[in-house]
Amino acid sequence: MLKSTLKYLGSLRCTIWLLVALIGVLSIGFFLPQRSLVGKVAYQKWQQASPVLAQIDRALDLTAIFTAPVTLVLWGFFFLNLLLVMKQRIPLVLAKVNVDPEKALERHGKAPFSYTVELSEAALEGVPAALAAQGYQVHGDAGRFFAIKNRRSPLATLVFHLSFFLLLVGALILFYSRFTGFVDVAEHEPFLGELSRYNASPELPRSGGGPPEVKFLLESVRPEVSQGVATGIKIVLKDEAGVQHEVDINQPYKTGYASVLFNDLGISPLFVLQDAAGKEIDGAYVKLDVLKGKRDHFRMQGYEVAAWYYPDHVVVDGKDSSRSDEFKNPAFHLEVTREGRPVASGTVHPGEAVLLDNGLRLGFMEQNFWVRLLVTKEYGREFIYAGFVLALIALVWRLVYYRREITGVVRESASGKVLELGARGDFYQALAKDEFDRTVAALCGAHR
Amino acid sequence: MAYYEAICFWLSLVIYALSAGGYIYALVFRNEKVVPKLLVLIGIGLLVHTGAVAARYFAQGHFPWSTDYENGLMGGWFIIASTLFVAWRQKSLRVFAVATVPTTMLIMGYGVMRNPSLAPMAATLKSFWLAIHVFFAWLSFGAYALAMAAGVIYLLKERAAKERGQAPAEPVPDRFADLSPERLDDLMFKYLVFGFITNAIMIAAGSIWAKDLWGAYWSWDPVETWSLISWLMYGAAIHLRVTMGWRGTRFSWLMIAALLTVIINFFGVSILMKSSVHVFKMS
Ligand code: HEM
Repeated sequence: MLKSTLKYLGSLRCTIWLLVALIGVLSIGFFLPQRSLVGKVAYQKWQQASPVLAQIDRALDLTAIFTAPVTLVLWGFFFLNLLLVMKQRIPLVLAKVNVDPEKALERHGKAPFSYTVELSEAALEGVPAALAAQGYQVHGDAGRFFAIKNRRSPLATLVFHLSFFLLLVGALILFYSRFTGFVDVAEHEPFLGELSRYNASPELPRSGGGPPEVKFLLESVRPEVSQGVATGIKIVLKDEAGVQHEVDINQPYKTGYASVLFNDLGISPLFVLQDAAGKEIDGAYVKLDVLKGKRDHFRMQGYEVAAWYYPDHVVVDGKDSSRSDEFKNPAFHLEVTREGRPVASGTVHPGEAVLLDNGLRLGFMEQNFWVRLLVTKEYGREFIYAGFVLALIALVWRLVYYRREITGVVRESASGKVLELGARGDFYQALAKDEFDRTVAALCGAHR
Repeated sequence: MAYYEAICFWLSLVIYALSAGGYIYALVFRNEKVVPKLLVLIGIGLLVHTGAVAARYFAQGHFPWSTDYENGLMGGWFIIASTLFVAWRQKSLRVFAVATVPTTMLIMGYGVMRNPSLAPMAATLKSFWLAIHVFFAWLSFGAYALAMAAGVIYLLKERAAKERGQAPAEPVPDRFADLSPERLDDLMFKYLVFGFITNAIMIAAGSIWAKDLWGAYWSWDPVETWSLISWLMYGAAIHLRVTMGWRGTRFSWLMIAALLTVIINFFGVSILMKSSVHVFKMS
């Protein structure tokens, strides 16, 4: 039983079924909402709307299909099958690569394409050299030879399939060494890589260890928005050595194995509380999440301030609104309360203030930005890149520079000497024949 | 759509429709002599189509490579261009347009029904790796479409051969006489191989891009997943052929079915757009 199972697991029929099963399982991720993509709230809603499916889901983990037990088991079988098949193939491939010219010549009569050409004695002598000029390695002499092109190409089958193991090793190292955390940093604020500065719960490496040693000062943030589409964001960071680094979408700050990526943008205005004489009582850069019409609030000296933001402020029919998402004319609408009692409200542009009780003024002095940065660190990229590069080289090597073999034997005929050629190529039939026809025509043409 | 773009787009669609009509006529009435003339028509269609791409490029200031409409526009361009390219290299392959022109019309038609409005290039799309990713996606799409076309011609030829077998003794000319079934079979594999390699480059470049955009090489987002699915599908097809000896009829049907997974993938990019623009939660 075990023997036959192992035998099946080492078969190419099993490979096909595994590929079909993987395609099927991965497709589930496309048709069923995945928890990691839709978020918790949407997922719970879906659970309520489809209780039967939800029950199946709890049993099979279909809404986290990419890490579900069934998927992992399939991947396990996939790599097991790959290992077993490749183990069987290694000697076969090596034998194919180190082909014995004599053995190849024994198969001369069985070649799929055969030609008989009449050539002069001198022309016959020149055939091996002519084939060599076409990229063939020629063994033997003009009377009996074996010519082969891209002899080592079958090795690429091993290289291609074994590159999957490099990707697997890379993926495992990435998975176990990965740190990810979000941190909110405002303009002019330093970040020293402390774990406590990260939002909520950063994901620590599963293999142990802490956050990466990433230290910088956030010098400036300049978002670019055009016709409502984010066209870029220029973030300048200064590292410990005082070197500036620009971060943009698609352009993280990379240091060693760590990367710092832009994730989200917020407004960080400087609000200052002044007394009647203009003396500053309090002031702070507050990080507000107010883009896209969201309301946020902050506290200052016992005042509770609710804030709405208009990046391109206009008043339409007596109401505040924004002409666009571009930061052309920023303004805040503020509603200030104290112990639940309304104190004041008003809309302010930079340099303007809302008058509170007791002659105090809450001034909007300056508009800065804060950014949510995604800090990641993971090892293993060398394996991933090596896997990609090897896989691609091997594919081209095997499928484009595929192998061609020609055997040639000179025989005596009534009219003199004739050259019998037998040819075979990997993968193709009609197209290979075209190519061999051309090769043979060239041999004849060159020696007429 | 920009003004000249709209004119060129619809005009090219009309030209493709006319040539598709011509092909249907050629097939139904078995008059394959008109095929070379139709190819000239398609050539004119591609010129006008190129005009639409150029007009959009100038109106937006960047290559059209993001929305469903732009994918339809460019994917269609690559399919027609590869059809003409192979027909130019080898006359007998002119008939591939029978399958590729209607496919192009479908994807362009679907695209234009979605979102043809002009937009500046989203920040998420300004990336060298994305450019490589998209370019190879188009190349592989064109090649897979040709593999499908070779499959369609194979099936048509096979059907004609069957009918001939049952028909009375009078001689019936061979369908697409200068393309033997063996040649079509090889061509399917050749295009499949080209598509498979360019598809692999597309996936590798896409994941390097994802690392810079999202911080991870692979996040199982729908587009990544689907592109892996269609690559595995073509990988399985290569296996079926190389290790299980699938050829001819079965392989033709496989090439037609596999193209569907690629079309789904192609238009799935709009989902990627949604989630990637989402990164910059402002638009
Ligand atoms: C368990 C997994 C796999 C096993 C055991 C396996 C095994 C093999 C073997 C033995 C061959 C050589 C056939 C021959 O030359 O006679 C082959 C060919 C091939 N396989 Fe796989 N394969 C696996 C997965 C994959 C996957 C996932 C892909 C890509 C999607 C793939 C792509 C190819 C390609 C392109 C060829 C033809 C080129 C060549 O011979 O190397 N294989 N496979």
